[in-house]
Amino acid sequence: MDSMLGFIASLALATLLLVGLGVPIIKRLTLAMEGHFEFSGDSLTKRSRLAGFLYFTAWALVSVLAWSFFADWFFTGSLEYALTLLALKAEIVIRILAELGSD
Amino acid sequence: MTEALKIPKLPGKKRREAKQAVQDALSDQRHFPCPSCGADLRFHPGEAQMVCTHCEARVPVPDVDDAAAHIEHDFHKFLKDDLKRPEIEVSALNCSTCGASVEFDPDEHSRTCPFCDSVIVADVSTQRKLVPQGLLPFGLMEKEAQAALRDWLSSRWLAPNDIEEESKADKFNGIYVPIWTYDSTTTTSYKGQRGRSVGSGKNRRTVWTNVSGTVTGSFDDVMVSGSASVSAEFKDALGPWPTHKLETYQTEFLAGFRAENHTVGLAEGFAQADRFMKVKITDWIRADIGGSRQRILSSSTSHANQTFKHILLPVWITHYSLDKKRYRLSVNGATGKVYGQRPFSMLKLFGASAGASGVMAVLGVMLSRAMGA
Ligand SMILES: [Zn+2]
Ligand SMILES: [Zn+2]
Repeated sequence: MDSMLGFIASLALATLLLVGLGVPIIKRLTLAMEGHFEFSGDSLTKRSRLAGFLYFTAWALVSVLAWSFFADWFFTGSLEYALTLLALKAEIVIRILAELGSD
Repeated sequence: MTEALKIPKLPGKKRREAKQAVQDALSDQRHFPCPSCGADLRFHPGEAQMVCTHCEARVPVPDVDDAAAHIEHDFHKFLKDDLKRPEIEVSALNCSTCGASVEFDPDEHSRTCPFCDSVIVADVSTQRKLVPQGLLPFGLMEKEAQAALRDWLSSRWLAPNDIEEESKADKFNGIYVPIWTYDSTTTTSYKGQRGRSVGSGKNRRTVWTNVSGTVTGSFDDVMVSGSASVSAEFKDALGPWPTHKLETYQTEFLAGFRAENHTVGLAEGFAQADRFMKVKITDWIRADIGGSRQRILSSSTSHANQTFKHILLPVWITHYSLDKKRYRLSVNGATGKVYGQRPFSMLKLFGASAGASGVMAVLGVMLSRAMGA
């Protein structure tokens, strides 16, 4: 089945990419968490700690969207439908972030 | 502040003689011979005494009032040189890699920089420098610093297994690092804008009103590293420092230890403290403006009652090797807090990433089903 092969190849590629991307991000998160518990409230290290948490959040968000896209694709069997849903979800997320950012 | 009297580049024998003369002149300042056997006494961390390296005889550090360690000196008077303070001559090893200037100990044969671990190729020079007014004595012995290091290593997340056994730590260097502390009362006048949001949804926008005002505040003991070398990172990373335990500077406290020289001047140090104060002052201005959003268009700060202290803080420093890589570790010599570079296990990191990805995948599928329904 042609589309099944495409599905599996895309899923494998995305898994590799997301897990690989997670390695440096989890490294930074670990340093940020250790710093969070051990450093006194210094403004300079605070910024890099915050960046550690932010990168992880962004990675988690992108991951969830990507996995839900593959789930949609798998359950409906339609790449087009899954892409439409992905665009919709991305738009919702961006709108929520913009709302948070404006406050 | 420090005036380097570099020994000129003389060839061979002359140069060695010059060096020897410097060392002879300076080595006896730091040496306290044992009253019973004549060997060197070393300061014993955690106790106000020195212990003989040979016969274990104990000699108490003279009990001096610690008031001098806590005196705040007038910043401007000092800059105008009205304030005469005692100076000493020290011989220093200057590291060309990290910029540290460490007191040279003729008995210390290692020529690697205790801070950056590089081989020091620069030379010994004599410098005139101000005597620090106070220091925080070492409270931890070398073996206690080692224990703190092992605890710290074993509690690292996602680190290689057996990290404590595998890491071969060098000997620990006990070093007093230079610090300036500054006090100041600030008055800041500012011009800015207060924003408040009106409307809702798509029509929400911010309306700005011009405001101006004055905020005052005071800073107590803003710490700045007296050195631009690696040791600058210790001030924050190893803090907080129990500065209420400062003792008046006495060379007895340094017996067996070394001190890094102040290479950042008093005014230069204040400029760094000022950057820290500016961040705080900006917060004060924002609070003073109020509203939901603030803009600061201009501000100017004047300082009053500027004072400073000139002190030394104790740090144990070591380097360890793991998988052919070198890592630097430091331990607060008073509190035992550890700060350092740490290794990660690639395998564990990958596992953690895969595990987290698994969780995200479950959430993703749940999201897909929730939307599909
Ligand atoms: Zn003795
Ligand atoms: Zn160095």
